[in-house]
Amino acid sequence: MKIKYIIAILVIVSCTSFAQELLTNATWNIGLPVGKTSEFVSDQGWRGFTIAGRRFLDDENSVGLTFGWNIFDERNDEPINVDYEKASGTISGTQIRSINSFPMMVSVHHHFGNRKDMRTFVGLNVGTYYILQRLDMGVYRIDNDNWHFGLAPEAGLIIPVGEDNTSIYLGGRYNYAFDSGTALGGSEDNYYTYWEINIGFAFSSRWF
Amino acid sequence: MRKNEQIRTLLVLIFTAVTSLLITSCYPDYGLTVEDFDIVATFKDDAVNFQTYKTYFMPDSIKRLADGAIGSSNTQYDDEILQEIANQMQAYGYTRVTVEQGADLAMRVGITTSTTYAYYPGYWYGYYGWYYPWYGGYSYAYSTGSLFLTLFDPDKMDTANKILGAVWSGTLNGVLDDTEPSKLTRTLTGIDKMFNQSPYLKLVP
Repeated sequence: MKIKYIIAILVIVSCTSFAQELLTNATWNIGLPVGKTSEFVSDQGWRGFTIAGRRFLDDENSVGLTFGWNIFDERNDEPINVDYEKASGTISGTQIRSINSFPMMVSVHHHFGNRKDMRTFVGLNVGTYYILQRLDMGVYRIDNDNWHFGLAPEAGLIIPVGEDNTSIYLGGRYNYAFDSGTALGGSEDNYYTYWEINIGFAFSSRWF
Repeated sequence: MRKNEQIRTLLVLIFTAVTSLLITSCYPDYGLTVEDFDIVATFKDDAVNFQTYKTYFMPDSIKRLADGAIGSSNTQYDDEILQEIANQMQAYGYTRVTVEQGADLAMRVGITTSTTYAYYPGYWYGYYGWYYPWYGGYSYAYSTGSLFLTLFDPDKMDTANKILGAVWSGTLNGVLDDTEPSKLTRTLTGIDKMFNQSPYLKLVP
């Protein structure tokens, strides 16, 4: 319950700090599933994007919002072993496995360096992930979706180009969507972890 | 200055639109062929030791579980299917006998088919609601067939409690929209896969 209040306060602060810089960034995401997530899909995800905004509270610190979409998918031919109480079996066939992750988070960031020069930053995103896990096999499709509370620490570079407050944005983010609901197949252990490389643009402005 | 900011905002919107389009339109098809839609599933009774069996009985015909459905009454390849099952059973060390000789196991073979009708409403259906429901939508149908192999142990049959005594089952499910020779090849490959993924059936001499 406390988390909800903290998120609400961060959103209010981020929307009411009008006096400072607004940094908007849009990035293409390359995702790398790790841990248990990679057991379902191990291939890198080349499709994904993030749209985020940061409202600076002073020259170094900001609060903001982060929205994204990452897709992980692969073709897999590994047989699936099934165990019941008195029987067991094997199901084989071509599988298309996919995970769609939609993070919706509030963020806090600390920036190092002058606003007009290259800046580095570290930050933490806190919020929710809507994650859709899907298995296509034969003509059958099994979907499993859950909302997860999650954290995403990140770090990166903002490199100004030209003089119109446009910058190149390079970042790395670790996503941890906490256990929620059940995984496809019924396992109670349903958390997701993946790395993201974010490549895109950042735009700095003072109006909103 | 104001104009520059508007251009930047426009760039963000274009980036978002292009990325969204890439994500939604470039879903890979993985080069799937009709064979890739075949599924083979096998199950066994964990309490059974297959090494205790030596002989089996199998009828000379395949039971149609959905007579009249598309393809289900086509008996063109029944002999090839039954022969492949017999070959696999023999390779695993089982001897085929007649009912009169009293078999340890009974192999039942069944086929069923079904047709699924589906409608894809098109991209704009949800957006314009009922005004343009026909725009971009189309309907399609596909037929699937399943081949069922079941090994029964007559000694485990309990008619009073409706227990059939099945100790092993193999199922092949696939799309039927294919040429006849290809369907046969896929079926025989599927039978081989059933046995390959059930090594516990193999009798040790």
